[in-house]
Amino acid sequence: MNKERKRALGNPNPRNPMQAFFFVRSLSHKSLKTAPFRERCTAIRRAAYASMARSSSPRRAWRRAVLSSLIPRRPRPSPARLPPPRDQHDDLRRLIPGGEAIGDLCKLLEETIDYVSCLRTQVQLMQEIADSVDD
Amino acid sequence: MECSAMTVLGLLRRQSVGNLAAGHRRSMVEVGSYPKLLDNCNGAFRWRIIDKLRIEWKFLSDMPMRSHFILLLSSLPPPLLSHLSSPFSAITGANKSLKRGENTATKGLLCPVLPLSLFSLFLPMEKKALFGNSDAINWQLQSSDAGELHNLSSGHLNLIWDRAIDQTAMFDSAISSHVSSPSSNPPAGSGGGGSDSVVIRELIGRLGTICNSDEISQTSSHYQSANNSCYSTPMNSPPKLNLSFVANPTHLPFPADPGFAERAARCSTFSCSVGTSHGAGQFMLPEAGKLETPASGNTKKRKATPKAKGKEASLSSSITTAANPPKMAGVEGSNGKRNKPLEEVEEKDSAEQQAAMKMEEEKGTKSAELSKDYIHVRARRGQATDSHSLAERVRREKISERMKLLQDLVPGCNKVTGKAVMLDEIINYVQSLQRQVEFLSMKLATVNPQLDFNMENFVNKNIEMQQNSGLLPPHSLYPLEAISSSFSFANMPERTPLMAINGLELENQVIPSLAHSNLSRNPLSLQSTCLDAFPNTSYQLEKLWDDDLQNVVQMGFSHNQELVFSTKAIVEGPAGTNHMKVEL
Repeated sequence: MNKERKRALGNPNPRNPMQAFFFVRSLSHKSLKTAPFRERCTAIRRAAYASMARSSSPRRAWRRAVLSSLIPRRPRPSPARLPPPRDQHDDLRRLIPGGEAIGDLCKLLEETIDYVSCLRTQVQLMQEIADSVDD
Repeated sequence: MECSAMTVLGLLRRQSVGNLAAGHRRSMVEVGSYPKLLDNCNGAFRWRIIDKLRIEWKFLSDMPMRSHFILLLSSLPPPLLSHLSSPFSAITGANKSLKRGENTATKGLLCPVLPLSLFSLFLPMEKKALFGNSDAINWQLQSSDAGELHNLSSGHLNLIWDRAIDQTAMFDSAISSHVSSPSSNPPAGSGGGGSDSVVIRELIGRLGTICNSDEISQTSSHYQSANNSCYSTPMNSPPKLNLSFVANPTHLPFPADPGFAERAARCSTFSCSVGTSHGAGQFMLPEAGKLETPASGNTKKRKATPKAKGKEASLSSSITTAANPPKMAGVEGSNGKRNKPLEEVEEKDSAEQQAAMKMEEEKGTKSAELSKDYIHVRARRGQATDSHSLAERVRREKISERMKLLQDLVPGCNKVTGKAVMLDEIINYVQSLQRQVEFLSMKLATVNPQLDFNMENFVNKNIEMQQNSGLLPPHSLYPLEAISSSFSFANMPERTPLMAINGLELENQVIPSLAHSNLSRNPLSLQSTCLDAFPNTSYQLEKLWDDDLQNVVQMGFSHNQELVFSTKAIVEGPAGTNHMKVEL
């Protein structure tokens, strides 16, 4: 790597360096290099979400949702719950991972804030990496 | 035995470290917790902790800090010390010289130490005798040991008293740490207790000198408030004292200027911890009753406290000759302040309520008052005041707060008014971000085989940004109990293989010999299989570990901000620790 490229790489969110760390580490995974293109795409996407989730607070609902969606687990017999009443915020609920289980708008917004900030950081990070490779 | 000594060390460290600057203190607290952890953990973890210590040493630039560190290291078990590599050779050497007392400089340190530590042992005995407590076998043993040692180092007694009078603060710390030791180490057999006490005494003595040297420059007043808060906890809840003593970091810095209240509090902590650890209720009760008075913050009781203090002053010889009522008032003031605003608010609330709802029944007002106590919302004139509408108002306020936060977060959302439109904007933004992630992952997948990443860049840039902005990331300081619980979790038999593998993996990143390898070359396959096998535990633990390491690194940088040049030199230097930082 030359110096310019090094300079181009930077953590977009210095407050949460673990996100970048997780992501780059999973990017440098050996199996990624040998996989075909399609699998690599999905693997990188999963890595992106996983790094987001892993670097976030463990209390976040979206973190749990993302991690559980990424990792196959034994399905547990859970008591059937009534879904929260349908309202105008359903679109948002569907977008935020784990949001459909959240009934309260207040909590939903909290999750949204966290999720959006994480996602934005992730996008910036990936953008930086892609730019540095392009140059 | 080791464990108790280490706990004492950890506590003492925190007390003496209280004199240092805030940033420094923090890191020292972290370091202070390591030896305790070292005791609980097995091979792979020990390595990690040692590495952390190694980093810390790099960042400890000024002398008092280093001396702290040396003392800390003296508590490490010898096999571990032998593991420590180059930067530590100096420390271990210093440690040895400290132990032998060969060095002239260290000799000067050592001499006043022993008697003081002895004295700190004597005092509990005296108190015990005065309060008529007879069932504390541990203390008896220790005091008898102290007597023997005292005979050996004869002629120190006068010195002891003089110095103790001068340096009561240090004294406090020594005593309290000593007192805390039985709580952390439930009294084992009588034979073991004796040897324990000797070791602990030595350690305390050594640390004591440093407390002493730091005290001179220390005139801060806010420690007193911290002290007060810390003392109020044991008084109010004696059974929880042991836990709070270990876990609560706020109470750890001890004041340099020992006021009146402190001395009383000192006695209280002593009595409480002894009472809890030995189950001596008689001993604890009168003292606790006496000492709850300063914490209560009532003016009437304030007057009553000097009497109790006078008693204690007479008990603990001529140390407490001058009573400081204003100081007491100042210390209590913090409590009083805490209480007063609440009362005022309540009064205001009730007054407003009466104005607003004269027509309502008394029951109604009472229920509203109750709800107000918890929610703290004020109803304006003409607004509904029943509990439901109050709660609803609170919820709406919260939602609008979140909306404002989101408004700042989502670009182009500032001009939009109206919640529905804003929600639409947010949804669009989230969707676009998700699409971007997909797109970028495709893009990265096309170039991925060529990728050769170096975490150096990220972290270097990271550090630069921090230094430029002067902002430090808000560390979530992991409480001791959390870490130790993770350790206990790790020590559970069925998890051990996983932990061992995990440890190896992290070790690979951390050990300097492998530091030159890039992340791309790191063996990660092991770890990923682990993650698949035990997703929860490994995630948690790894995150904990990573964050912990992270904290250490960033702290190092944070308290070296003045020495930017030196840190940069370290970063650019080829040392192994450099790569440790960098890889995190």
